[in-house]
Amino acid sequence: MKNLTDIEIIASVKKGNHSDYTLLIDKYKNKEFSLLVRMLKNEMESEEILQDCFLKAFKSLDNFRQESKFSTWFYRIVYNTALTRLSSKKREIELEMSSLENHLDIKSEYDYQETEQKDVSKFIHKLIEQLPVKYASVINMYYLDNMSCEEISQAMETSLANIKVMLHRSRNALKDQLIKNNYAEEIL
Amino acid sequence: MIELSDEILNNYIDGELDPYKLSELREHLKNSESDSLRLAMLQKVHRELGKLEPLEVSNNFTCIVMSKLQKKSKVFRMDRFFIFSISIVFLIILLAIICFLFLMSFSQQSDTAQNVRVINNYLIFITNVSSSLKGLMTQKNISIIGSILSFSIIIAGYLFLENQRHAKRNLSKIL
Repeated sequence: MKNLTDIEIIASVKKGNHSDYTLLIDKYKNKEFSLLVRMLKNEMESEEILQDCFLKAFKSLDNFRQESKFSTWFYRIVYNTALTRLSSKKREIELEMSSLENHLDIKSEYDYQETEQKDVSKFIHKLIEQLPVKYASVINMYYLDNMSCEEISQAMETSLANIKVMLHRSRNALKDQLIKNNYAEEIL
Repeated sequence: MIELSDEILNNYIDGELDPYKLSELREHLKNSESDSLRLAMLQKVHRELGKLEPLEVSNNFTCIVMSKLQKKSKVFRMDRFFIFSISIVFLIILLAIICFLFLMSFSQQSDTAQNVRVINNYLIFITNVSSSLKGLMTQKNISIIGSILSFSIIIAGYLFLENQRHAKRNLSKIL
């Protein structure tokens, strides 16, 4: 297994070693797949789109100027492709993404079952699936990919303040659900 | 006494509180059970989110992408080769015609006076062509020429689209 940085891999691919592109694919496929599944809520569709995104990125490698990290640049491709797919499916994402003035309100379909089990982790993970697209994307990039808020704002082409607000609101919404569903005793 | 908003709690979790606000918050939490609970809940959420595991794509995902990539670049190379060869053929034909004309005229005419005459003949020919083109550009003729050109463009466009559709079909067969 070669231990190359993204920049070294890209340089090698540009030189004609196309097989090195597999290193980039292997590095990012699962993380990007998680993001797509959280956005599109469909695993098969997400995998197809991810394949297209890798092809698109390969074709555009010459345009990658290394002003940002490859991961941020690629996230932007994936995120924008997913948004395009969502809008082509005529989902009301703008409404769902909710402007920052709107209150983020998620309902738990699992209240009844989960209250009996009192499995906090499971409960939180189920709630994440209900987060609106943009919020779920921020959570995915921040926690799963360990991206900083600055990198997320570059990838999502949104202001840093908006990213922080979305991150905080997501956490608050999850916390409110925990309180509402009487998980306090489990946690304390 | 500080008013403990969710934003302050989130900033605390992110380590973005300044030392003054931090000590104030700690003091406040000692006396407020409900706010301590809120913070504990938020920290739990933060910890659980940190435990998120990536979902996994199918096992042959990388192979599929790489084979698609190879096929696409093969088609792209073939297209490029086709365009390049066609251009080369046209260029060679054009160069051959030009060379032939010059060779013909200069090999037959050896002295300078005759060369000048040949050049003059070319100039007369070009003048005649341009004057006949000028004659064509009357108000009546121009509409006929325009119609013919539009028709040709439509036919060419149709043929181009058909060609594209055919290429796309072939590509999807390969993929």
